[in-house]
Amino acid sequence: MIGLYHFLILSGVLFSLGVLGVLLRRNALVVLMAVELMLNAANLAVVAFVRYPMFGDGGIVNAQDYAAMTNGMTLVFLVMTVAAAEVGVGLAIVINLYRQKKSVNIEEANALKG
Amino acid sequence: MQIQVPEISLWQVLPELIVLATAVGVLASDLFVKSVQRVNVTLTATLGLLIAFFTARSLEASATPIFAGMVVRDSLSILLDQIFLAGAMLVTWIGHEYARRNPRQFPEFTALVLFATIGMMVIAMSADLIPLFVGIELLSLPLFVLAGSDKDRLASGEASLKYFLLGAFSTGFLVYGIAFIFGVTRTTNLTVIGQSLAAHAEATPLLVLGFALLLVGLGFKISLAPFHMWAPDVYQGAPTPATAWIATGSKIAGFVALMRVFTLPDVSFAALSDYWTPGIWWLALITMIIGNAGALMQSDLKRMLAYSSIAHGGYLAMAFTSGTRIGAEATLFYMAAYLLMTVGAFGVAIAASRSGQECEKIADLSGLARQRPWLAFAMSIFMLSLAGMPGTAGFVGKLWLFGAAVQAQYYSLALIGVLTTLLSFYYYLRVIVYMYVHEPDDRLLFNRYSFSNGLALTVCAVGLVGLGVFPNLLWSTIRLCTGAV
Repeated sequence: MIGLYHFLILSGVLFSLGVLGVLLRRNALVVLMAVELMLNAANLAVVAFVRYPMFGDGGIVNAQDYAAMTNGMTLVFLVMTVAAAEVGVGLAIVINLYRQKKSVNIEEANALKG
Repeated sequence: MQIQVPEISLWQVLPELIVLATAVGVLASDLFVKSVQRVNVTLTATLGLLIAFFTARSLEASATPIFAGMVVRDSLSILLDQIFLAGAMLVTWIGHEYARRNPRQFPEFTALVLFATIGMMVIAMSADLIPLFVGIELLSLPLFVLAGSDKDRLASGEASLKYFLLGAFSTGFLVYGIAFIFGVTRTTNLTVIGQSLAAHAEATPLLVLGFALLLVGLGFKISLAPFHMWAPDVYQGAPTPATAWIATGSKIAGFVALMRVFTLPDVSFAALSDYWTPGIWWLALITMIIGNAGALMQSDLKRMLAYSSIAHGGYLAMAFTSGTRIGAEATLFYMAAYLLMTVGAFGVAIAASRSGQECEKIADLSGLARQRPWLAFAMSIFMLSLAGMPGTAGFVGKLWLFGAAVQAQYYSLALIGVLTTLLSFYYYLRVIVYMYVHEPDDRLLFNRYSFSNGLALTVCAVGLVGLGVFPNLLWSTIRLCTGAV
């Protein structure tokens, strides 16, 4: 049967893919997507924790479960909203880079060092 | 299913609402007024911030969380609101001068500073991981834009790209950490988490992982080594007033987030301190060494201040490691002092421009004392305070920081702190030597600095010396916040 740990492993894989994407890919847009992957991995984990609680019988059975569910879902919705806002700002910044460099390769953003 | 609407007490968050209204007003003025006068924008922002400041002062502190347990209006949040509002005012004033040379960034600059301030105030009053996270984002997003607001300069765009990518990356860690903490404790409320951990302080691997991820996420935000790589580039590339707010407001807010999560009495993960204390201990140690060593080699003024800011983050983290009340008090005092001296230093960097040329290298300050003696004098105060010269707030603050570490028996950490402080005198005094000893390297005169910038620098300098001589002015308020009578 599919349970909490299946989801946690999937979320861990997604998160690791996101981290690797940020560290290894050089295209700013792909890096942006990798960051989104990290946030969605966290969301998946929260939703899985709500559906399959670590303690107790599982599922939404009493008031405490209900409170935990609303709490977790609020977190998920806010993370989604923030991710959208982040993409908005991020794309503007990438476009600004493209305007100056005619490229979205982050290797070319190398004027500052020391 | 019955749905309960939580009690909404808007007047408790009135300062935030006033700042929000001011920011929206400033932003909208550009739409409705044909040519916006810089003076009017700055005056509006100042007025809004002043009203918010005195509203915050008049609020009554209460330890009971409001908005369904999301935020708490305790005396700590009220004090921090005042610090952030005062800081925003100083940054607006030094930005006013910068805008004279870069009119295209106005009035968005002022509005973005105000928006970021709201994020800081939300962090200061959060009693739950959700507003903490939202506050960090409310703070970060305007700062990403501010860093890139000088659209035509290559370095500014690059700074904002780096800041954004690293900031978003760290948000991923933060949220993943919150997810695990939520999973184990089934709540995001800090008080409830603290209680349930105190009841059965069992460090399951998931919980420790959650905390580690949270610490990494916040470590990026406050540029603790080894998560500091972005700071020098961003500080150097961003427009100077934006750098001032990134260096002060965002760093202080990050430490406040750490305090809210890790140390405050009752609302704490103190039960797990065996796990997180060694982590922050090492971070503080590495940060102090890397920050000071990096600053030694810089010829760029803003880059030097960036490394110095990293080093100061290390000192704050050191007191934070102690986990004691005196540590929290010392951290709060040093935050206020750090705000004044860093905003002041960046303010001088803005004022010491020559015609058509911003002050970038430390060598650009050569001969400042001869042409603008008051500017050089103010900069000397800021540098000496950053270094920790007796008679300034920087000295008193550092004394308490080291005292907290010694009291908690972190002798080696305090020793490294003192040694790196001695080292730091070299690069701070170098700035003073350039201003007073070196001849100006060309015949270009320094620009006249505006009234607003002069006012900001005066406030910073007088505040630093005032707090250095009479630290009790602030110390007594801080002790009220942390519960000591």
